[in-house]
Amino acid sequence: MIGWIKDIYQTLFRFVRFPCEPETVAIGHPDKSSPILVTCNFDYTVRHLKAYLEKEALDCFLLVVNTKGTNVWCAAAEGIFTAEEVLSHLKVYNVRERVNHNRLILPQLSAPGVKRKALTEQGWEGIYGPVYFSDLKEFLHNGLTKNKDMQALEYGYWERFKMALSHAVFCTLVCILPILLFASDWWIQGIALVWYFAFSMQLIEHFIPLDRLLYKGLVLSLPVLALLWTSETDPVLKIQASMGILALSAYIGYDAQGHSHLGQNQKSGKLFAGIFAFSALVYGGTLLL
Amino acid sequence: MSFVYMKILESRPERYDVGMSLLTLGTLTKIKRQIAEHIHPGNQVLDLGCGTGTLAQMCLERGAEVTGVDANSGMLAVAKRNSPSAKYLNISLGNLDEHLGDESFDIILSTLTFSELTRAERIHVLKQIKRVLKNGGKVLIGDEMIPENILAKCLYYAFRIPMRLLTWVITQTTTNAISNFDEDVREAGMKIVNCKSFMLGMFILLEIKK
Repeated sequence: MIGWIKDIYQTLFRFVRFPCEPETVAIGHPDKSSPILVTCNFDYTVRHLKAYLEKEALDCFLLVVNTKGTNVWCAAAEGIFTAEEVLSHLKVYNVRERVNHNRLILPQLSAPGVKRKALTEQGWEGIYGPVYFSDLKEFLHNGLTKNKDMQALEYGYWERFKMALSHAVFCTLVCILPILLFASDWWIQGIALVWYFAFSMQLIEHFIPLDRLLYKGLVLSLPVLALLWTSETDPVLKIQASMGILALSAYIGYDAQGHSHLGQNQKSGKLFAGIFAFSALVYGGTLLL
Repeated sequence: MSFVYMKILESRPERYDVGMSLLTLGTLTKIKRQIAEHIHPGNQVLDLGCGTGTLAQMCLERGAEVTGVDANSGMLAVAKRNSPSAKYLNISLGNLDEHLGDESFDIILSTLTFSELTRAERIHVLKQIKRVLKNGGKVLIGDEMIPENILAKCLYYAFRIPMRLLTWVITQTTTNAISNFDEDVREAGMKIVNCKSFMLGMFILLEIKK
């Protein structure tokens, strides 16, 4: 399939795993002294990494380790991209026979999962490479040393936009049934709200000076609530819609914790459940009116 | 990734057995029972890709000493609750050489494990199986195959696509079928001595010897 079509659906459905075949592949014309690069079998990364290495004419061996299609950072944090898996891969594909050195260049973001000590015990030297593979050429030409820029993880607007797309698609799938059940006349507005919250949680949340993402989600509901209360006249509908907006903003704010391993464990679960219970109770109460 | 979805994924091992029973319409349980019938008291049994330990428990009940191996720590946590008397190793199947001695098991089992491996991994693991299997011991592998018969193959795809979707919704995982497994077994220096097929050849139970 054409690469860019794959890029689009793998971005939209980022929450699904997209595995490619685990393998040890020779890029260019590597010899026994060529570097060994390690990555996961997340199809998106492997396709782009291979294209980069070929474009830059970097002769090397690329180890595509089986993490069931999960990307490097997530797989390392989930404990499925580990030194154990790398060592297993090295044995299955007889990598030791293809080189005359023992250096493995690991993605820097694999550090939570791939422990270098475990590799050393088996006679391999693990070296964490740059965060982004676009720095690999410089890293390899500089004797495997990194400057500060190569170690910095950026979360720029393009990355935020792609994450927002994926989150919006996922939240739409989760919310579509409740929206159709509870607000069938307003389903377009409901889905538009899901996309508003998903995108604003990515693109502008860092301007909101609060610590928990759940609070930020609630803050983002304020302009929507203001619009509702100034434009709608039916008091029952106002309350019902407010509860829906409140629940939706709480859910999407809470859910956004999963976008970074650094943002998790915010201990918002009880508050999230409380907001949901409150919204359901009030909504239920309005049905008696 | 969605935080709620991550939490759902974390609870996947708890739902694994339900999902797999559904996907195989109970065939997996039937295969496990038939495998367990080969077990005798005192047998040293190795369960590769033991998952939640249901087969390990069946073997323990028949008086075997069981070692379960699985790379998934979440699955092993459930297995330890389900059948705590077994010994477990949280290792990747590619690293069996680090942990298991030569000719140390009478019977080696695996269900829906080989279909998760690539061909290179399958051959590597089969070679390790040959190494750790005692002379006169047997290997019992229950797994999913792509049927060779054209009609069965069509039925396979017609049935598997909706069932895979349903299973994925429940367990966020699925299985992949193997083809030409007999070649892998031969390449590892072993032979298939018995083959039973289930559900029009979609699932098979193989008995392999050195």
